[in-house]
Amino acid sequence: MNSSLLSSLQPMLAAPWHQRRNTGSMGTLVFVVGLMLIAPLALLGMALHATIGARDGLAGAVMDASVATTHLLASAANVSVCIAALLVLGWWALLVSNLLDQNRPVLASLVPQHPARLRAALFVAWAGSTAAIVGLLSSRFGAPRACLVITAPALVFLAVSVRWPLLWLGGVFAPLMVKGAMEWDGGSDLVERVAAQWSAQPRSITVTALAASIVLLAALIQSGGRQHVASDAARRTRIERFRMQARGAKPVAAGRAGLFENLLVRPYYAWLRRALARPGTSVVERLMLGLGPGVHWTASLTAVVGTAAAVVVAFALVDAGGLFFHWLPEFGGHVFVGAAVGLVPGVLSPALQVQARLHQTRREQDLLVLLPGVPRGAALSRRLGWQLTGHYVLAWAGGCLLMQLCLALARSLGVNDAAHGMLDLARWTVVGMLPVVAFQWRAWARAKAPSGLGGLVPLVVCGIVMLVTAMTTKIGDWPESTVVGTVLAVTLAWGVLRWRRMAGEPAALPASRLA
Amino acid sequence: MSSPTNDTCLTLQGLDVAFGAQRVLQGLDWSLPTGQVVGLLGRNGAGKTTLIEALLGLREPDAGTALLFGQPVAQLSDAARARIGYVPQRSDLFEWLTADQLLAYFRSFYPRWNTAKVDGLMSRWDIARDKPISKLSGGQQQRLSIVRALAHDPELLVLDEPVASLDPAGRRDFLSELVEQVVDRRTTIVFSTHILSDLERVALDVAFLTGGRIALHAPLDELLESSVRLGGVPADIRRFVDEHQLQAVSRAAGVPVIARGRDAASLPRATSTVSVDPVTLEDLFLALTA
Repeated sequence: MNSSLLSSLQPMLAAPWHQRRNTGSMGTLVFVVGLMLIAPLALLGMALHATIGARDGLAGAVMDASVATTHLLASAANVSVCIAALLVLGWWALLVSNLLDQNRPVLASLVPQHPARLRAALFVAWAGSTAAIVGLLSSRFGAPRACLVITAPALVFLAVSVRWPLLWLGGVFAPLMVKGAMEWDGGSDLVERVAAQWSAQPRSITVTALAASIVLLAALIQSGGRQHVASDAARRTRIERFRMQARGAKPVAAGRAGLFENLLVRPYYAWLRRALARPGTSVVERLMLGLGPGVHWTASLTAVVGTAAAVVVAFALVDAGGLFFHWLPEFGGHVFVGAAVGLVPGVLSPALQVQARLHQTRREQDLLVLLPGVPRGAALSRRLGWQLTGHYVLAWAGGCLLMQLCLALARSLGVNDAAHGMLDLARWTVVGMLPVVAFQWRAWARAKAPSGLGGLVPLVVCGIVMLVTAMTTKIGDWPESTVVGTVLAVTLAWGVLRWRRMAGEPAALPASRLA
Repeated sequence: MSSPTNDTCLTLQGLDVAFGAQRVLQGLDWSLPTGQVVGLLGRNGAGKTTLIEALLGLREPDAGTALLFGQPVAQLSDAARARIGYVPQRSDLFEWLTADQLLAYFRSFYPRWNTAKVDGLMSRWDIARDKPISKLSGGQQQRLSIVRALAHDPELLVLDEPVASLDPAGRRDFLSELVEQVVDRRTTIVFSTHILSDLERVALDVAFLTGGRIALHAPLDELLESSVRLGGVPADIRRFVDEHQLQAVSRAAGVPVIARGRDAASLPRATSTVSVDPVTLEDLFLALTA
């Protein structure tokens, strides 16, 4: 490829980088790179600590530790390589999304060579990402050709999924399908046959996989025309729907997706009707309704109830499926145990996304603070703080109940959660989420537009508290009640500090006006 | 600046607002008597929206004071807030509500609500009541925003580029509504706009915002009558300005191009060496906001 073509592709390939730099959202990248460096070191430290603790006497411990360090460094390098590969994967998805954004029908029709250049940029990025991931993985795990045959089509699948997000569902059901295939009588035969084919014709399989990837990738970029206009409109509508969802708004999309989203915001509208019909509704309650469905407590209620309903439906399906697939109940039980921990941050997300939602409705807040009766100054900050606290506590309590439901369902499917240590993890998650309540008390007037990193901070705090809780109870042998009491005390002290600081700040609304 | 009286609706003194190192308002003084209709003019980025936000208490100034109805804007009483109507620049607000829900929501806060006016405007301006605001056109959203601001019969109406999305018919309807508001209720109106022809039809006064200050606030008719455009040899223009005691409003290479004076209306249209022509609001806008 000549240098002039490369320089003509450079603006297209560098667009995501420039966008992030211009909007000041490079923090996420820095965070991920930092994690890549720190995570293996933390793992190494913890493992060394465990090794030293397991041996009596310093000399023996040092000897064991030095032997273990060699293995641990290798493991740490593996972790780093995997994180680096994931980073490349994330960058690839970002780039594809950006190139698809640039693939507008008007530009495709009017700008000479625009689709061809986009296609070339896509190929260059694909080749570079594939080479990087294959290089990284094969440097630690070997088998470069196998890495190539898996990575190249996987990157194309990821790109196609960016264009048609419904394909992500394939990823959700993939574990179930793999498990089903492995349990199927002919499953092992199939695996053996594939392995034999690979041994016999590695080169032709590689060439076929690469050729198919190239054809699919080329088809991703459209060259104008009616079909392009239609697909571009669909993509814009989808993006707009996400934007509206982010505001917690009623969907603009029609059809089944719109109906589903309608269900999610229905409690808000019911509460709005009720509040406006009753003359005794307090000003603050009405103010919270004016901040939009995303900030209102009904968002958390919907998240908890909706997730619980989905869990119960999934349980019914697993239970019924057990009549036909003997392996399904146990497999489902393990999934429910995982969900017990994994779903809690999910149902807490409406409460954790308050910063984003308040930022999005800051223009509406200009009108709200001019309304008669709405508190002003510090009183407004305090009332908002209490409302958001209630919202968070509701979500937290709902998360705890949901966790208990998942564990109970797992037990009824015959999976003993305690044996997996998941019960401990579940308890630590509940405790770790407690201090996060203090994030509801902020100087909202100075709160900047939320960045990807900003949204992660409460989860990072939760993770740190979980880690400390785990280490003090498991390694330090502290009684659980003492640990929970300490976390509560720290939460209280931190909360008081933040609350006092918030009271000295300018009025909370309109949010972000002083950012 | 004199202290606020009962007839003063708005008083701003020494108002400073900065965004980082950029000072947008710099020691701005301004006062508005009750019942005045003022068009606020300024170039893009001059700080009109910032001024409007500061005078409503939506943005804390770095220095200075802002009084509305004699009260500091940061501590406005409920009664004072019930007297304010505000149409912000962006009208795509509360997109998750329908027009009816929006009006019902705002109605729940105000002690006074003119249902007849709301119904009349909603039907006259053909705004769908049960459609989500996100599905209304830009013009309909702006009309709805105006209906909401007028619904509680405010005594001070602040409009930030209220006609940007309206077609000529919509603008005419809106302007006639404003005129009614002034005639019926003696409402004080501050509105910023770039459409000068609209301003000429409604505004009694104009205020020019430039360099972070109100450079000039005067009755529009008086301003147009007292200003002239001069042309000719520079030395002759200078002599003409001195002779008739005119004040230069704008200069080109040090020579007055537009000048003001009490007797400008009675000046000869031309002398042997200097041409004297009437000015338009656009001439004044360009001269005063340069």
